[in-house]
Amino acid sequence: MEIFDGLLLGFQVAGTPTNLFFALLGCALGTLVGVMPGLGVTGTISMCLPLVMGMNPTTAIIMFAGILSGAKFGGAVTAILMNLPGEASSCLTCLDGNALAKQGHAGKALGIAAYSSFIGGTMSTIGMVLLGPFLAAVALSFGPAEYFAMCVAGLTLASSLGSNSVAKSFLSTVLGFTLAMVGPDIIGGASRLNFGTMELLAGIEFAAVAVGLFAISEVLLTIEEEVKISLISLPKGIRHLLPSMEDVRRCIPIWIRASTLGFVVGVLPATGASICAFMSYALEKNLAKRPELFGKGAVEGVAASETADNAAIGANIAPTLTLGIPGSASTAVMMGALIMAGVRPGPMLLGEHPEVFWGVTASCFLANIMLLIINIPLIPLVVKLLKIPYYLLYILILAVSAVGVYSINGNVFDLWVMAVAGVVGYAFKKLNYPLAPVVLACVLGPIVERSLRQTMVLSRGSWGIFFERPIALILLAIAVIGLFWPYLIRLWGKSEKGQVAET
Amino acid sequence: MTIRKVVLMCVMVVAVAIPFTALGSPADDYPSKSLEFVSQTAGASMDNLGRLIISIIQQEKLLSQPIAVNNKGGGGGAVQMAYILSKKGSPYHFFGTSTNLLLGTPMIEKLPYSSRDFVPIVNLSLDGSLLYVRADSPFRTVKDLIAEAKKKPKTLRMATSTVTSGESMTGKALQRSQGVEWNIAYFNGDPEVATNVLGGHVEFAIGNPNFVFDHIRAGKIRALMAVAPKRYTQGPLKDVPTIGELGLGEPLVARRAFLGPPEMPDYAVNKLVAVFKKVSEHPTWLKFLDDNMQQSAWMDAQALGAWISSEAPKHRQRLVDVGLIK
Repeated sequence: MEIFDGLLLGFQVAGTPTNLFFALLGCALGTLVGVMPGLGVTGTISMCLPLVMGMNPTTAIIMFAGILSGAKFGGAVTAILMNLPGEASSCLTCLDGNALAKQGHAGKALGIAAYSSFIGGTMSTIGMVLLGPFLAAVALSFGPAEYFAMCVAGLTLASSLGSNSVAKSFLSTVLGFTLAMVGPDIIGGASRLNFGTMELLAGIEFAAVAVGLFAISEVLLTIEEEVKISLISLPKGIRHLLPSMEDVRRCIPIWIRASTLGFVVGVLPATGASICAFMSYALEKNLAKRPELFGKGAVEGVAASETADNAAIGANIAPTLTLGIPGSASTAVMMGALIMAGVRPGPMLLGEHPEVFWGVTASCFLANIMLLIINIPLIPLVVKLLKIPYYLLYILILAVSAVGVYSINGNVFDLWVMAVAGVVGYAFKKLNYPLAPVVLACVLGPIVERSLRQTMVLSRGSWGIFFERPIALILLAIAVIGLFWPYLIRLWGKSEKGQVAET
Repeated sequence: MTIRKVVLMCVMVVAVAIPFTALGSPADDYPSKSLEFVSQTAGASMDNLGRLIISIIQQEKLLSQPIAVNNKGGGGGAVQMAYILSKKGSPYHFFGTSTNLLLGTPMIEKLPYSSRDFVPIVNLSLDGSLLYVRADSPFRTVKDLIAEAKKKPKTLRMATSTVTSGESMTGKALQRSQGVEWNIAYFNGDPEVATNVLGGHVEFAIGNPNFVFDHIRAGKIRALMAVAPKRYTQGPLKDVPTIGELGLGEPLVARRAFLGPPEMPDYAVNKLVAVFKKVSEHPTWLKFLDDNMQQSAWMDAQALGAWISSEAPKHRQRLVDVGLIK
């Protein structure tokens, strides 16, 4: 069968000592990169471009795929231990992961994150192999109308992301939207909400906001509580440092659902992994028997976001290789590297350079396995970090945050943004406003605006386009249902799942 | 004073002075730290081009310091330009852009700066665009397209890159010159333009040939016209007529220029010009131009500066003609 031939070729290619070495190097580098906020995967990959010139293109892409996967787990580490999001999707891991860490179960959270990353990545690689060409067709059928509908559906899920009050979730969403509006309008270039200052002309740096809202606010909160000694007391014994069989059992259905979701949504170019994590988290929260645990230390939360995240990576790579259309910024750079090496990704890739496609696929499998093997033994070591007395740990958090945020643009203004976001985040936590919707709106806001405007052009001004296109219609229906879901549940008398009255 | 004290004083003076001799003037040891190349959206044509040039520079060790790439895409170059303006006077920052964006975006959006605020460094290449349709489209020539547009005004849909790109202006100019009207949808980069044609969401597009060349070779996309001074030579593109041959107007091409922030020191500019000159003759670069369907068009700092000054009013007139500004 063609696929098995291809896989065989792929494993032969991926199994050469050089490629194995570079895969390992990529994984290690990626994990390191993921730990530092700011210095993103895209930046790392582009910095590796000079190394890659003259290298075999397959080896280069193998290394990049390793970096991508490794960075996801690295991001989870800081999210769990320090409430420091490495990127948008890590914000969700912060919520449950850090709560778990504070309860003394950091090892569990990290373990689940590692297993989830592995499963998500592997499942999506399998999907890539089986569904490759079909994926490309799906990706193409998504036009601006569908993107708009999907992002609206994503935004309405915000009501599920946060605390008990729907109104508060929406307020957070609106704030995120407003922040995203600052700066140039993507279609016209006119800069908005910049108060005439040069600093805001280019918009607000998202990572600064995310780091401030999560990490800095957490530091402020903890200082207020005057925690002087170490943050938590670690339970004795290795048994407690890794997830129990019970945890794993609870996560299995989540792993299946989240991989599918992450894979399907991740296929779409330009949406990236961030949306998948949010959607998966919201889905799991709605499906859970005890949704009120989410955000307070449910391993399911960590599993949902990490699985979807990693599933999206594999899904992103597939259309990049077979369509020549980059799925996200990091895959765009990978594509550039391939072109430089003389291999054009696109419909001809499978025919002319099958070893590149299959080699990358096989190496994604291997990278996932490698990451699991590297990371699990590291967890007990990494968890010891939390034994550091808090009055030292918070200095470390602040330093890593500041360096990470500054490293994005070299702009001191971003540090101010981070500080203000920290104060805002502190206020939000005190007043019980959820933070995740802010991040979600920041990411989805620009896409929503842009795709609506594009849709209007393509539909020649008619709103009927949303009814004519089945996918868009279904997604909008999901959005409407999502909007009214909390009320619907109450209506159906399932009071234990319904809204807990605010006290 | 004893001899010992005198000797001690001399040693102290020399010891204090030594660190200061290492300072020198900034021009002597430029670059003494890493540079930053401000690029556009990651994966877009300008980004690929910039990254390749940087890798050639690093490979041939043309500069003693590394160059970091910072992606600041969107807004028709406004994000990138605003960022560079915040780096006034720095010898360590430069950006690459299409001259259409450089000239046009500030004019259209009435931004508080213009193309002349930046210090020109070099121009290395220019690239045109293709007018293309999906292979199953009924249009076989541009004349077909225009005839259809005349029959059904405001019906056909065109996808193109940002509003100030050469591609979108060609689309608007065609409308004007042929007396037709279609709907133009702007996207954030050429990859999205290509996806929308392949997905059948628009009837045609004017976009960068780079992203569709493979699809043309695979027979999934058909190019109807090349917007360039001369025909492309790669593969099936040899048979695509130019806009000049079809008598439909002047080719609006994008020159890929590199500039620096305002008040960028001369020593930095001169050094970079020399480095870029070597790049422009490098075989990897020339192969890249060929692979990516671009054409060589060298202009050093003075030539580029003169070109920008003379082109600015012409560009403004172009924008008025197509209705982008009053």
